[in-house]
Amino acid sequence: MRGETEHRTTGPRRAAFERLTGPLVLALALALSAVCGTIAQAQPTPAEIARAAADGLIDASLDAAFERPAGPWTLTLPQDHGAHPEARTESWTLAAHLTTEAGEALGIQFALTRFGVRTLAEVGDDPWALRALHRAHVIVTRGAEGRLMAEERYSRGALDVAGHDPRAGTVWLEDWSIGFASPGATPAPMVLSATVEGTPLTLTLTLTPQHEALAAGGGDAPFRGYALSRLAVEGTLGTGAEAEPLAGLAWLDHLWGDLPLPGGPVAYDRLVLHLDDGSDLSVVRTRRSDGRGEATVDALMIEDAATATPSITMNATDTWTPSGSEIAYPTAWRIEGPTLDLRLTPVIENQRPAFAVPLWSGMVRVDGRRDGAPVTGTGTLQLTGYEDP
Amino acid sequence: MNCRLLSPILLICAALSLAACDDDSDATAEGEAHRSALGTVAAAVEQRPGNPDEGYRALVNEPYVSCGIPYNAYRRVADPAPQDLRLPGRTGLNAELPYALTHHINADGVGIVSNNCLTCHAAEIEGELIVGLGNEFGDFTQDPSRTVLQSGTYVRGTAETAAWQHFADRIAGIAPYTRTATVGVNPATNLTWALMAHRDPETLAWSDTPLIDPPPTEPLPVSVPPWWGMRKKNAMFYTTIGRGDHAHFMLLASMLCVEDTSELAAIDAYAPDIRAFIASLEAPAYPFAIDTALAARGERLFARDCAACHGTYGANESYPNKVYALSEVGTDPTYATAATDGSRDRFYEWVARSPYGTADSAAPAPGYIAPPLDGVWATAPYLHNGSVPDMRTLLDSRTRPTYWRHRLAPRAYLPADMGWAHDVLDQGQDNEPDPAARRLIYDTTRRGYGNGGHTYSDHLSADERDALLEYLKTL
Repeated sequence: MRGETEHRTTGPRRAAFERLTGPLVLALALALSAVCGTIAQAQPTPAEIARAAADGLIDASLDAAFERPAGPWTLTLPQDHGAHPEARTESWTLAAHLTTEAGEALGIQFALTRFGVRTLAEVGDDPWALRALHRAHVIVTRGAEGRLMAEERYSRGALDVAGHDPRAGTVWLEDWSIGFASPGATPAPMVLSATVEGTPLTLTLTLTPQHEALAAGGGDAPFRGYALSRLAVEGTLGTGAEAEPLAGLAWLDHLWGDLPLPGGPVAYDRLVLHLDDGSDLSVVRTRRSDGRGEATVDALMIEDAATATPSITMNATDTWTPSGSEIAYPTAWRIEGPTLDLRLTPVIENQRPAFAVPLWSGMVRVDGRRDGAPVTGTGTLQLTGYEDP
Repeated sequence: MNCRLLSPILLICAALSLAACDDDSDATAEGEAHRSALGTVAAAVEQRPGNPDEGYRALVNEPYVSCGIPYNAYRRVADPAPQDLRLPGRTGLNAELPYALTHHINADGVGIVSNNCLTCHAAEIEGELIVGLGNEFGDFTQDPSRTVLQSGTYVRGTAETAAWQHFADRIAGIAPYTRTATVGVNPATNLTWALMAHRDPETLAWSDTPLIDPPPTEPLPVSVPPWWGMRKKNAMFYTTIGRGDHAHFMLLASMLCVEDTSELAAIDAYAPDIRAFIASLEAPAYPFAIDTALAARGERLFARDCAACHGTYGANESYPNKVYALSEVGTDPTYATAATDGSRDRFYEWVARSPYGTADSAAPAPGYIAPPLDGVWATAPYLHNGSVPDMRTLLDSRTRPTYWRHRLAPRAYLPADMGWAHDVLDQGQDNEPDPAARRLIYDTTRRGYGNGGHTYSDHLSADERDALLEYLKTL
């Protein structure tokens, strides 16, 4: 038989990153469940009917003639920063861990997802045609103020309200955009422009990664993508004299292809973490949505090279329940492994934006030990699947 | 497999299809319940008649393993199989699935892809897929629960989710008992015991918690025996545990998923046909050149040193069907001892009470059968636990590697040594910190993984050993 002997990975970094397949897919699943839920909530009809409508769109998408990535693949940057419209689904996800000039910890999350419904060939030039659902969100966590700012948007993309321009190197949803081909700079920075609750936000990511890009997918995986785990970021929040300078690190995931759809039986807890010893850590805890069975934990430590970190455990140490709710979000965790002992605490408890489909997604502080030495860090934790019965 | 995501699951299920893979014998007592004597295995009771052609049809099309991954989720990550992974005689969607997978529609109308017997009982050698050849490269070292979780990634919708959850529940029940130390060896026996622990023997009702003490968590490794041996063997498996109606034992493949006795009865209706197909299989012919003069010299050595246990071949074919004591054969005793020291008797009792057998069905002998050697060229690695990578080293126990690793990407069959290309290593699993590298090491110092014994040709000269090896190619 073939598969067992074929190793299409291009080297140890790729091989190690195969472990991250689930984690990256997870980011997409989060975005997509939000899409589905958003649609459901937007309908005046009962939720079941709306969900059925969403399912209908998804079914249409499954029948659409998008290409499923297959076979060997090589990541090509900066081109692959841009859109891949031939893919059924595509997502850019950014988690930034920043500080203000006053030293305040500030977390920013941005996600933009295109969920293809019909291909360009199927709809032709009709500018009104439904080709895709787009969904995006911004979440800002202000640690010192204990304040969460969040906003989500969605669009069917008609009349180019949402879309992409490969020549200009941009993708957008209304006036939120990511640009990655600004002339002049080499390499060009990636610029995120958005607003959150009416406050302008600009982040400029220096696309000279401090850790090399990790390619995901290839071979049998039905998607492609990459992670840039440590990018230097500068930016501003606000305008004019009130514009606050920000600086720090960001983690960028970008995936495209046949990615998981909402409504499945698997849920995830995902952590991306920047440690102050210069290493980055991705941890994904995968579990059954129905609460049965054992959860699994996959961890990837990224320094000079990416290394799968076996025998990691991730156990909740505290939960937070929103008022009026019975949902217990596990917002504090202990992560242990042969060379690792980290404790995660949320910067603020309530990092559950009032999105159509609620999820807890927020900034966490970390302290503990790694290889025997004290270590601290900041990260972003996303918890999904706790809302469904 | 053309789907890396799914293949581990397939292998898991597959283990089930092997499920009854042998066991043990009881060191003591003849006449004792659930034990067989050493020596000649009496001719089995008359087997239920079956149609081999119909058996093949059922083998590659019927859902005797009825739980698995929703087809829609499978197709999200896998294209139709390439031609070299397809088999003739498959109908419907099975025609385009890899040979080890079978599709059916469950009671809720959900298309299910599940493993079939060929996951463990078919393998490719020299570019040809051979039905009945044991798969000696399956990976049972991973946690199957993890793999099942991954397989849920693309599942959606209420009915498909329910089907996946059903499959995941079953895998969760057996997951603690299936992980081998080394890629390539098979945990089928332990897996079978684990399934019995989770089922009422009379109703077959599944219980998420064990109803009797489950087996130890660490399976004792077995090599998957070739199906064509059943042409000659009076009992199934290394310890001849499988007595009586062989088709009933083969039904154990259904144990992961079967819901009740009526589902089992439906499978049992065609099980005699599958048994007849298996018993009709011929060993594949050696595909390379043979030095006939050298082989003729080897035949004389074989007649002198080997035939008494393994039989004769060619025009005057015979097979003695004999089980030998552990003290005689000297190969790793762990497997046969565990089967006959009383520690597995509760499972033999389970068989006796179940539709899978009778009071006489599960009765191991305290030793190992000397198997028929038809097609032995294809069945490396050797011994019941697959601990010896090729025939050349089997024939001289002093040269058998203590630590070795299959050479993969690509694997290579070496006609000169009659076995698989491998690297001999200086150290075992305990000295390999990387788990991914560790599980590739066959470490014969591990319990149950020993490569000693069967030293009957150590006394041969190098020339004589070459001649014997050449003759074995002709079988």
